[in-house]
Amino acid sequence: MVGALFTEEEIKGRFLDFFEIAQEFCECYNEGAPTLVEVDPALLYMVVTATYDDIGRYKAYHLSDPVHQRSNAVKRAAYATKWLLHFDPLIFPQMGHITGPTGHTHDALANAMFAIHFSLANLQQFTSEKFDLSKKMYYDLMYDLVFRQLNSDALILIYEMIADTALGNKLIE
Amino acid sequence: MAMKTRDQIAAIYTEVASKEGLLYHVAHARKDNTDKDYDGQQLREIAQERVKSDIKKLRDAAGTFRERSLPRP
Repeated sequence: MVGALFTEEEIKGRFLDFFEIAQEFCECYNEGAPTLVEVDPALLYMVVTATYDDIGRYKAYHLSDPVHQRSNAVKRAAYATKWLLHFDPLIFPQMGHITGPTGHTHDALANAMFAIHFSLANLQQFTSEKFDLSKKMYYDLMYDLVFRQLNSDALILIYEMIADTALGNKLIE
Repeated sequence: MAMKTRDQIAAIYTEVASKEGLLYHVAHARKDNTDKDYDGQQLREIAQERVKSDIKKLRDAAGTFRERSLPRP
């Protein structure tokens, strides 16, 4: 069922988009950085296929016409976050145990940062609103993605709340 | 507690699975949040537009780790 929801050609298209976005992120991330980050294609492939397997399962269960209806970008953000943090496709080849430099400030956070960036781009597309998070929210998200276990259901809810806030929909009355 | 017969359990099923009650609909609830077609070009453009700002803000927020750490004695 899931296989029927996304063709090989669609998965390839999603992979190309994902790779370009990741590559652009690395380019900007590397400006002035002592250790360069890059995309590991094999790990990114795992992220993309696992993300769309999850989206396919979601669609099959929740949508009355999963073949023709499209799940919204909140799911893409949530499931991509889940698998980006699982596979860590942004890597630092120079951080070898023998020759590479070690201990740069942000390297341990690179995949969490990319997951947040990718998600915010999706949420901006979904809401048609350009927005930033507060500094506290960026920190809280990074912390939770690195140290806690937010499952995909929790991520969907968090991203829906962010999208609703961006749209001006009240979360409390 | 008296053991229920299979017929009695079937009657219970009919009761809990009645479409007249809310329970049936709770059991079958879905979250049907759909959207327009995927637009990868627009997504790439949005990501490109905001990537520098996101990295700057994320690195700025990452400084909070320093403020909130509790170093071991």
